[in-house]
Amino acid sequence: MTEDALAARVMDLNQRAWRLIQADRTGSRPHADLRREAAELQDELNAVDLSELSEDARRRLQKLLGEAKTECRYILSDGKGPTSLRAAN
Amino acid sequence: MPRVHSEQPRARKPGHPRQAQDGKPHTLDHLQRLAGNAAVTALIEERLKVQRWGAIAPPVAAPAAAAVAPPTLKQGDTGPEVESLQKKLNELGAALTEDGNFGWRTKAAVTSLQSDVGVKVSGTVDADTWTAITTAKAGSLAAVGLGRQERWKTWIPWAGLSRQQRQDWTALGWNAATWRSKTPPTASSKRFRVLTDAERAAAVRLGYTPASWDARRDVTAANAAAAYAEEEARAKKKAGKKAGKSVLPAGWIGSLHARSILDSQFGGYTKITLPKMEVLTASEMAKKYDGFYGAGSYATDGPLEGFNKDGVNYLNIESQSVDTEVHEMLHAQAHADWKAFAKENSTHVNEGATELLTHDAVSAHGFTPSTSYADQDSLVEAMNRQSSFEQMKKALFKGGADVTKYKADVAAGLKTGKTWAVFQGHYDHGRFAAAIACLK
Repeated sequence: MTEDALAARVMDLNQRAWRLIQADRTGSRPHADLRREAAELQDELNAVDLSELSEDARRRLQKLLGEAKTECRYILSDGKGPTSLRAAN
Repeated sequence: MPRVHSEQPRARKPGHPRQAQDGKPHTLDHLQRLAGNAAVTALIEERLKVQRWGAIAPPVAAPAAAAVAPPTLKQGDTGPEVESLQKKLNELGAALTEDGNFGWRTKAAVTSLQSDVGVKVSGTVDADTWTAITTAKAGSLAAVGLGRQERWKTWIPWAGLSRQQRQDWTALGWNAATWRSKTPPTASSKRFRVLTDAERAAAVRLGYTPASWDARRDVTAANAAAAYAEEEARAKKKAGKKAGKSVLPAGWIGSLHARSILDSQFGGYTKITLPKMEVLTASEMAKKYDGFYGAGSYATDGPLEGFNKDGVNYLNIESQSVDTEVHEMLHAQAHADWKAFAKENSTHVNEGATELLTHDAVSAHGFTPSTSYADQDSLVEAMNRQSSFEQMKKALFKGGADVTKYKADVAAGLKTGKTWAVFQGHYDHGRFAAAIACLK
């Protein structure tokens, strides 16, 4: 996968996590659905491999991956753990 | 036998002359007719002494200075004694309005002098303080607290300051002549929050915090970093075990410094608050994250740049930039209306705008900003070309109609056939170039 394609993929996953955390915050969707989707998204996020990227690109995408992973964990912990900076601020 | 009137003193309202036995008021003319000019003159002199010292003057024959106790003056007092105090303090180097009102500025000048001369710092002018005031000479060490004491202890000639320092002191009202004569300008006696934006920026560049400025404690540029570190260490100590233990690396802008910078740059738009932040090493981040989510969680999810728990921002010092705290602190100042608009579907507009403000603030204070959101920056810069950076600032800090106007400005800048939904759809999914291409 090219760097651009990988960046687009990470951006898409990040956007999905953001939607989940927004839905969790507003209570607009059943929590059970959000938990299931968060678990699926978590698997997809964990499958992303950034090791082939340049240091700059890896650092930039790792930030987006980290945000998304933290948001999935937050939903899976039923809101008991930490969340991302963007979700809180 | 003449009748003796034993007149008991009675309270009376100020400004209402006491009635004489004949029912006429005691005017000076009336007294002059009864007692003659010399007696009236003596009475007036006695009254002035009473006003000056707040006590009955001793007999004329006694040496007045030795026998008359000086008045104790404190904040809230008014009158000629206070005016006299202010005049004396100004002669020593203060910049007070001689209005006879003992306000916070006069108190600040008094406490500065007390601190310098080693008498008990109370802000109240007692006998020891009077002695210090009357024996100090203008520009002497005893008087320096009235201006910017630390700087004057290690006084540098105007020409010896760097160009930037001269510009900053000039922005605060100094010039070569007043610097040489150690005559503080009016800005020296203002509270930090009422300084103009330019004055605040200059003060912060020179190393002041809002607190140190208001306390009239000079923090020179040379030791500003140490002073901020000291303040932050004190804040951490006060916070107890909850605070992070990490020492900020050289050049890092800590929370207090970040607040000073934001205060100076954006204090005119909103009141800058200090959100809770902890700066952690990577191992501390891992320990804390695993403590919440279980062992191994951080190894899977990290390295993280930060996370938030119960209102505290935990920042990973090993994957952050010098201005991270400024950036994160800015997020905390954003108006709810702005957040609703800028985080509608993704956070790209919010991050881009926040980073542009971070750049604006830290570069104005001599730091080289980092770039973590280059694409988002470009997006918001393109939006600002349809509106303005100024309108974006108003929208972010003030919300309401300013958000509506900002969005309307940008929407009006969309090319024919492009809708907001199309524009937003691009940037929400990270297609920044396509989003920017929607704009004129």
